[in-house]
Amino acid sequence: MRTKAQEYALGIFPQVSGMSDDGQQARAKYGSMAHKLPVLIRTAGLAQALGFVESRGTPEQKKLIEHISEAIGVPNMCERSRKAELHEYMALTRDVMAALVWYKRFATSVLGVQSDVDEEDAGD
Amino acid sequence: MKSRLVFVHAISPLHAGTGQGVGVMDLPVAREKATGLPYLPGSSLKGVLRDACEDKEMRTAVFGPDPASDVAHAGSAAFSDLRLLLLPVRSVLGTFAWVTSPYVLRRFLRDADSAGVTDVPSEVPDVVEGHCFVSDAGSVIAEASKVLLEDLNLVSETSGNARRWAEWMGRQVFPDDSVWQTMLVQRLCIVSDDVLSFLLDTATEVFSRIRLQEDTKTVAKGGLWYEEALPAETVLSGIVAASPVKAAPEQVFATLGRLVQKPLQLGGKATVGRGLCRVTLGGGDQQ
Amino acid sequence: MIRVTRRYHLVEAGVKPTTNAGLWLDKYIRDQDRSSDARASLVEQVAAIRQPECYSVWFSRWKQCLEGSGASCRRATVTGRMAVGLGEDSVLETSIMLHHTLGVPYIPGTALKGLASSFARQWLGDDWQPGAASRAHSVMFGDSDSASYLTFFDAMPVPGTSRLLPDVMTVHHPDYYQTGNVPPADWDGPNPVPFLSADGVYLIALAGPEEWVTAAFDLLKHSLEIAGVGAKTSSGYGRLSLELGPPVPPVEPEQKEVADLIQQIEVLPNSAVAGSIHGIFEQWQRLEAEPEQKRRVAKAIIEKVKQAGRENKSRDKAWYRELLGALQ
Repeated sequence: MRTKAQEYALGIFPQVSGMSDDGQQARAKYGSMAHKLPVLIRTAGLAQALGFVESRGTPEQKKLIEHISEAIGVPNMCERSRKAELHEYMALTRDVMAALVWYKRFATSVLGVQSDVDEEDAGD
Repeated sequence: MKSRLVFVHAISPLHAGTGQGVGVMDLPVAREKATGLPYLPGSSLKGVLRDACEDKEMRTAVFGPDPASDVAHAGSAAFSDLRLLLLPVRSVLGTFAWVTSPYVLRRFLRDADSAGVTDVPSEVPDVVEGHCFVSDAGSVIAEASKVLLEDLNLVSETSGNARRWAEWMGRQVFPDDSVWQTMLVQRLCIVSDDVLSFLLDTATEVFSRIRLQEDTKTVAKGGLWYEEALPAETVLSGIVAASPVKAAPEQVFATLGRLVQKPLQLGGKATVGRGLCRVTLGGGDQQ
Repeated sequence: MIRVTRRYHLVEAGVKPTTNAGLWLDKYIRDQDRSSDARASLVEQVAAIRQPECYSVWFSRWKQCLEGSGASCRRATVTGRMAVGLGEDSVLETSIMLHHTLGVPYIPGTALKGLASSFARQWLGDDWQPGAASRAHSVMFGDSDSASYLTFFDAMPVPGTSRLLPDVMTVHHPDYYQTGNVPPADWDGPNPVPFLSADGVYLIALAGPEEWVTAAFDLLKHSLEIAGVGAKTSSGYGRLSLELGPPVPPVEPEQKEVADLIQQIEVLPNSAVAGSIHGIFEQWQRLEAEPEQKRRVAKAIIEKVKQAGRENKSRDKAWYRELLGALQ
């Protein structure tokens, strides 16, 4: 039997790899959000952090949210995070954070985006 | 062998670290594998106390010979790891709450028992998820049966048991300081184990640290990292045992008692002021 | 049945006088829509939160611990405004360093250390370059091989001195700001960006060998005056004037007395106000303290009277008028 973390890794790798054909700037936007989102979630809370990307993010950043939603098997993740009761909210936050560990790793290894790269000057 | 409880009260953020992280933090604080509870290794407290001990003879007797010397015998004092007892969590009411959970209290009771403490409140309340207990007198963190910690909403119930725990812990951690003892009564919040565990994963303090390139004032490559710390006002607890190897337990506790008169700096990142702590020796069979 | 969601409880919760300012700033923005005034009103709300009453008690312990551990403390006064931590990750896109547990503005030890270090390299010539034979820089600030000899503690505000201030910037050169640790934000629009700044008197504390501490205070004095700490230093933010001379004396006993009295007032249940408030007033009369300290206690008594719903009953009493007079 696979652990949840392994399950996640298997689903997430192809998602991130799929982004590697995109332009440098698109990769950087996707990758830098993968690095930034965990801390944003800790700072603002899951509902606020997802709401932020949903309303203000670039298409690539929204794509990351869709990917996470798919990877953890929660459709309409943003809406769920707003409506969830306490227990579901905590579980959802944990799942998103666990998945983000992999997005962070693959952003570095597959897309070549480091945590400190501004999306404007990525790849140089 | 005689033992006493020992409490660590963080005055500034405490980085009890593990080095490189595997999760989303670059430098996370140490957590117990089985429970996820943050802890400060007992060896870390012991080392700092040893350095603070100027009486060389007593230092060797209490803490053992200097690691560099080739004389080998154990010291008389043995420290358990210091585990989380109270986590300060930001609150919509009352600025912050001191949060603990039934599991933490039960484990603490085991320590108290092994230290021979008899006056500790023995009853640990069961908390329904989504609920919490606050003191039945003077709580400043609840209003209309509601508590809001970070972005979690909990239904609060007042409880004499919670107050008794707060009063007892207050006397241990803030001896002779009625103002702080009152603050703890006003702010104690007993949440379910699940909620505490969630708060420990998401509501500790995070610092983003950057290294700037001198010439351009831009972030140097590899120069941004995230450091986790237990926030100021965290309280940890453990036990210190004295076996009469080279000094009598009375001497060991008297020496320790003198050493903890001064604040100590524990954990990592001391040069930027982290880990300034008060240490108190609590009840035990050697008081 | 109406299903009351978790979110509902959060939205319904209004900001309270005792709310943790950092929590409200981080997690309680009303909505994310850029065109709404949610960001501006959040900044206003946070600026209106007062320093927690328990802060003066906390601060006296803080200072006591610093001194007990051998640190020297000196005061530094913000001469205009200060914006430390403007670029921290936040859904507001601007932020400010607030103490995690207490929500008050402060200057992190890391920021002070970084400021002094870069100032030394830029202004003090060859002896202060990293790797110089004098080793001055690595002794004071440490390097990859050894830790620094000095400890730079967080600079916490002196109770009653610091305010959070609503502020606004209009960004004309977004690229410039994105070169620092500022979250990527598309600030190209003409919209003014609300943010918080702070003022106040801060307690700067350093520990280490005496001559190095003295030298570091000197360095900090000049760098805080000339370079400034935090963000927007090119617009004049972040300048502080540091008082050299003898270190700040240890907490006077009167300060503890004031803190104790305020605490006593606050824990008084509303039902006990009628019976006890006059006794507290008499304690206040006897209290020998600075006018500012006496004013704080008077204010706490008046707040308590209001809280207990006894304002009308007390309005014409001589003792209440005396308290009101003290607030002028």
